[in-house]
Amino acid sequence: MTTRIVAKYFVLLTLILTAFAEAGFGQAVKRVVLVKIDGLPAHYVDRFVQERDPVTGRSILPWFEEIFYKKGTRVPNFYTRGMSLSGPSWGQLDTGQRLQIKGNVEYDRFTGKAYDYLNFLPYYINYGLNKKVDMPATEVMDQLEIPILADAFDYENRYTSQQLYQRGNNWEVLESGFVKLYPGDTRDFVDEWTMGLNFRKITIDQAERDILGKLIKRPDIDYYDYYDVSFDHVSHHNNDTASRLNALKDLDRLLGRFWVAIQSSSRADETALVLISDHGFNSDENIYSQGFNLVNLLGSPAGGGHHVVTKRRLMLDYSIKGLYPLVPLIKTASKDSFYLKGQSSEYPTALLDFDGNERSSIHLRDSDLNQLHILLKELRSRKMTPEMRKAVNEAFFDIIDEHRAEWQQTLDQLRSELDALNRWTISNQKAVPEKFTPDEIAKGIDKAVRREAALVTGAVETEADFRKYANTLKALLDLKREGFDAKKVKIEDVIAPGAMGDSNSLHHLQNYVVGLSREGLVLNEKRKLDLDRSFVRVDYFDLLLQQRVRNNVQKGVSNRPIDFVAVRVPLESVIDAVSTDHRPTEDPVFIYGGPEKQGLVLTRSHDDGTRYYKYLPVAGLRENADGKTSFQSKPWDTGFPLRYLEDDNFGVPVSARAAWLGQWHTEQEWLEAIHKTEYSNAMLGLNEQLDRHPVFDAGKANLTEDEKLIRRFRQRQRHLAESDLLILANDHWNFDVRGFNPGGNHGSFFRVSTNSTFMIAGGAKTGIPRGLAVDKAYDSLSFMPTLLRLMGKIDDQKKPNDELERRGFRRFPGRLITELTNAGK
Amino acid sequence: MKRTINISKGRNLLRILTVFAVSYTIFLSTLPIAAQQPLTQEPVPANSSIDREENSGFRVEKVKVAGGSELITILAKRRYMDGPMQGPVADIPLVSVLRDTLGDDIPENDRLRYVWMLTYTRATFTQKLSAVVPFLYARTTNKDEIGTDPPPAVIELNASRSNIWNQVFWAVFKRLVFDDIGVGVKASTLQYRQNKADYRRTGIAAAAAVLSLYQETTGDKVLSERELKDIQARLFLTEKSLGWMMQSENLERVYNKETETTRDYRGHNWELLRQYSEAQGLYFEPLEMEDGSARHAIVWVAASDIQANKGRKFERRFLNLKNPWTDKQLANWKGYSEVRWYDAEDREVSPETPNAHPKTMIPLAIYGLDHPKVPAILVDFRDNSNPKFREMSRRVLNDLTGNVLSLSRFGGLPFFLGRFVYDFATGRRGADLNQASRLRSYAQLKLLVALDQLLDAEFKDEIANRVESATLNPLQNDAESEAKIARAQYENLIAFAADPNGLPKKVSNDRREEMSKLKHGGKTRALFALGHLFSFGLYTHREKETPELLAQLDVRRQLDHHERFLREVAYESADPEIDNRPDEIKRSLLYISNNGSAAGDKTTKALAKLFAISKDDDIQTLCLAGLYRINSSNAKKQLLAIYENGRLDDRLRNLSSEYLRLALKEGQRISVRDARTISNIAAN
Repeated sequence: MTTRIVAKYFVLLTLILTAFAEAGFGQAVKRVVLVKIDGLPAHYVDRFVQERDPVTGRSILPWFEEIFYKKGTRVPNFYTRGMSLSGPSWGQLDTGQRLQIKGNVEYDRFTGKAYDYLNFLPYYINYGLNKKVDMPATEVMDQLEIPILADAFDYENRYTSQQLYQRGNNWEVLESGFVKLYPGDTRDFVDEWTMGLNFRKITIDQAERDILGKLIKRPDIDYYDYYDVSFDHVSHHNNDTASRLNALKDLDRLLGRFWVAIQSSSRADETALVLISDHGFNSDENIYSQGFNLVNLLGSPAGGGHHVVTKRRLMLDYSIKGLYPLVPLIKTASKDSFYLKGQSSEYPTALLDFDGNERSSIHLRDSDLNQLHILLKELRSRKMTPEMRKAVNEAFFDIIDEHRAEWQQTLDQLRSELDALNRWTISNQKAVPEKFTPDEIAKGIDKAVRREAALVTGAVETEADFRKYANTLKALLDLKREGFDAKKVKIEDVIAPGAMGDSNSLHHLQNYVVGLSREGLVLNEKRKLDLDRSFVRVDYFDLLLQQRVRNNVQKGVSNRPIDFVAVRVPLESVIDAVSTDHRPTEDPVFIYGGPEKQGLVLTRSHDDGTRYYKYLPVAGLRENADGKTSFQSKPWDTGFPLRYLEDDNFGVPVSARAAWLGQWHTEQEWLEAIHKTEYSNAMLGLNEQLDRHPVFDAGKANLTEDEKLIRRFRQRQRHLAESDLLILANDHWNFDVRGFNPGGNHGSFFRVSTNSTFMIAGGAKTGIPRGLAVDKAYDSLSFMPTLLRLMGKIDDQKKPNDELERRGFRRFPGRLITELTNAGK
Repeated sequence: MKRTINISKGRNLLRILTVFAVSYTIFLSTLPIAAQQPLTQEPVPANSSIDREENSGFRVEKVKVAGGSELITILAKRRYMDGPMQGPVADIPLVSVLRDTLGDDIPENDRLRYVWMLTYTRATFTQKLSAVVPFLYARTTNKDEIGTDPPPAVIELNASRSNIWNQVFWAVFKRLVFDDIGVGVKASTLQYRQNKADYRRTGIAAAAAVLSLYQETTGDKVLSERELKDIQARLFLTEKSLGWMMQSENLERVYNKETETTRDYRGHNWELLRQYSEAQGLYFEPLEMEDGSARHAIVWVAASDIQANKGRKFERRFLNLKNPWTDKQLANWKGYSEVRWYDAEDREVSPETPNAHPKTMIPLAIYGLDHPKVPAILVDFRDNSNPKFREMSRRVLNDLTGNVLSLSRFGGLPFFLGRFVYDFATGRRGADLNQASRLRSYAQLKLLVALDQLLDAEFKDEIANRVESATLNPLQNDAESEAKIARAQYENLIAFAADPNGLPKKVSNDRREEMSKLKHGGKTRALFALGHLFSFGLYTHREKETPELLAQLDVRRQLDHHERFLREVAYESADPEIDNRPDEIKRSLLYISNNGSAAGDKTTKALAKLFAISKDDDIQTLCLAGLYRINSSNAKKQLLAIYENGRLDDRLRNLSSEYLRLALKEGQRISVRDARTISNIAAN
């Protein structure tokens, strides 16, 4: 009896605890239809929602108004965090984690491999050949063990469309979409044919049809996502309101169709329709966006005569080679190369990513590698006196010795990491079955198996690439000063072709070696090689900011295409130069707006996890060869990069601004103060973009040694993808060289480009407030935790529930949008 | 053997007939419009009055035409007496549109009929003679005597499928006859045909440009936004082989798509030209039109740079110009130039700006920006033959291979492949050879020169002269003549409108032709069309105009209007109460339910969709009434499907069954199977 009573109370207690646990993860939204729209600025949508159609008296965008303005919640001050660029921005929205992918295209400095996150065609081809399962960005996230939003749902309970962070592919979408190009009526088909069949939207339109059908017929599906780039596409090409508004109206009608389908479905009460965008757009109907060609600049003598690698073909639409779908690395040879004429295939010295177009990232080959290369070439030539040969020989080995310890460490670590990776590939190599049962296919098992195989294949290729680099590095370190005969050395054996080597320091970028000086090699009074006089050097900060054009035909567009240049500076190089009250704990970001107008974005993390930021106005910042930085602190004044002080929309009274800016402030304080300024959340965005955000939990137990090494290697790969320079375009300028984007661009920190769209509306049980416009500012880190919180999959501390934790989700760093998550409580 | 001979004889006879037919058609096409019309109708008295609408840059006149139509004309306001349009200060009439209103104030039954570009005229005999000369790519003479004939329309907006018959007829004719009649005749005939088509395309491009500029003006307009879009869409569609088939409900989509594409070209070319000018050390200047858009740009060189850049490499790609740094002519330039002032950063400033320095600027070229792929060079200030040669390149290639060598693109694999590769390579690379014609850009430039009030008069004259010298078409008149032609043709058109045997009669004939659709079914009308074809246009079936038929015409046109509206709504709406105009929808549905027995199957589908997506009781009820009224088996099928949908409200299902029973009783068109089902419903 007693046992029974105890058992009864136990069951009761368990039920109560379970109920509490459920309450902790309080769950209101059970099904989500996520509409992902590339490049949709919240301010632009709002403009037209507020505009009335003179004929109907209703909003020009009636469904936006009906769904999100009347029956839902919107976050008008929602911003992308980091660059306003699709690859990185969707990465944050889809993972909820700090920025790992930092461009639409990234390059590995050691191997020269390009990560092309936007190119669908090679993905489809590789998917068709069973070589890939996921888009490249998803593969990188898998390597970093960061799950994406769709992973929170079982394969059979989700429907995902074609997108940058795509997991798996469904050929049926393409097939059905193609068939549906025929509208079912000959006359209609003739009309569509005459207007031009829209092949670009085949899969997008089919995804819509699929979702509309499944919403009614498949109540078991909990997660739908739909991705469309049409608005972004039109806005890059056209700046006229009519064209862009037509795209918006199409979107408005789509939302209407989704909303109506949701309301007609059996799960309407618990379904949320979510509209999310990765970034805004800088487009003005009176101004064409002007392009500036950085490839030409870098290839010019003033720019260093670089052979430049891009992942997009220059003037693609005007090139026959541009039709080739598996875009290789494009190497643009410089006719003005100082020492590598005719060697653009083997030795490109600059890697350029200009995607997004209001910004560009540049990798330059390690300046010291350039020196070694030049000296080695000189040593191999016969025209040299013995005295000079000796001096050059000494200089060559001095440079190697300077780096020896660091390079040896890299080599040792890399080898152990590659060995671990090798063991992992061997242990994970399995034969992929040729056929799968329908049940396995329905559960996505076929894709999971192929995914593992693709990761193994990728790891094998990566290992081979890195070993190649490691071998040249070893060969370089193995060279002996004594009795060195350069003629016996093949340059490509010691200086890896296609590799950029280590990142350049600030000092290097201010004194970058591009070739021999006009005088050639010069000895100093000590009969040693005069390194200052022997080489031509370029200060890239100065060079870039000096650029100007003569064709200034648009009022409101500066004749200087470049706004500022930003780089991450190692903490140790700056720390001594910063007074005690300014001391940061993370690597600062240096912003160069001219010799007298520079800034340091300082970041400090407290033990409780709170992050503080400070902007230090400086001038004349330079790093010496020893890695020590010097600068003059400046009082706050107008004209410093980001121009917060003089911005009318800076959220601090004018009289208190200088004092406010002289202090540390939390992330939230900064965001509230700056988000409406011209440069919006750039303070936080620059740190997000340029600082490192370690992804792996160092303290995690139960890891094997190999697992630790592989994690270190994956983190190394991320570091190797970091560029040397981040270049920001001035307003209405862009760096597109693939073609022309006169309609507009994004990529910068301008508010027009970072202000993106987040709106949500749901059925009666979802608890989503109606008619609410959240006044506070939020950024893309808030999106995923807020959505998962609404679904009860994480708690108020943003910790995932057990199920999500099993799937690899970790605590989310972003703030919850409490106006939404607390509304139902 | 005998059979072969017979066939051969038959073919020869056919060829002879076809030659005769085409010759006769060409002859007919040279006659004034009035002469082509059989005088079978009593003249309608004219009752014209003129309304004027003032708009910035444009003025609009509306002339009422007897019998119930309106002639709307857009005129460019003249403010200066200079340039190629010298003469008395009078506005220049540009485009006229005829709106057939049936004489009432109901906009739903209005029909736009013709568009006249008033600079577009019939060629003189000398011009025609020049136009038949193979490989004569130049303007010869102007048309000085306009006469009193009304101008030819550039487009008939309600063009029937005769277009496709003409195309088929022409293709058959070419195939059967031209191979045997000798190169000379063939080349001449095809040359004339091409010149004529190009001349019309120029007129259409000019009309489209005027309408687009007019559309951007503010204030009330005589032509509604929808009418403007419809006309422009129809003008765009003349370039498409099956464009004439476009259904009216898709016209706005055509307009939107075409506008987006053109603006895309414009922006790309603007930026391409700016970047390439910058890279070569030249100066780029967009030329803005009345609406603020830049459809052309000038590229200049600073005189001081010519010496400074001596020996500098010049990249010609996309600019398509001779190297200015090695050009002796440019070093001793005697042509037009301007002095402009610049600051230290090379930004153009006013002369009074401190430290401003002057530069003498020499124009090198003018480019058209609305051109596909690349900016098209229209004027080269150093070499008139440069743009002309580029424009000619495709024409020469086509004329030589098609008209002389009789090489058909599909005639043999080697030629097909060779031509494909050449076309693809030049097209893809954006080489300004073998590209799409720049007729549109030239038409726009002429309009710019005529309307612009900012460019220097001397410079405008020079541009106008150079544009003329680049013209390939002997049928083309120069700008000065065109202004005179426009004015004279407008006068003639007004006179034509006032003449009871003129425009009123033409409109009346058009209506009578339109009435044949009301009286006859498809098969009979197909016979009429054949009659029209084989009589070479002499016979056109028209009904006798009676008050009853006129009333039916009124109903039919209103029905067309409402069908179009409902189809558009059904295409784009997710729920009409949210995203559309429920009152308008109800009005249209009511019209269908009262008068829609002849509505088409697409309207049936539209009503079914509206029924499904709407929650408005009135709309749903009216949809059912409409489906009942439409006398087609599809409409009844939809009605039956609604009745059989168990999830629907009983009231709607009952109403459907009532309508179905009524339709069956009335003997409406119903499939046998559905009729059986409906009978069962009725029995229950």
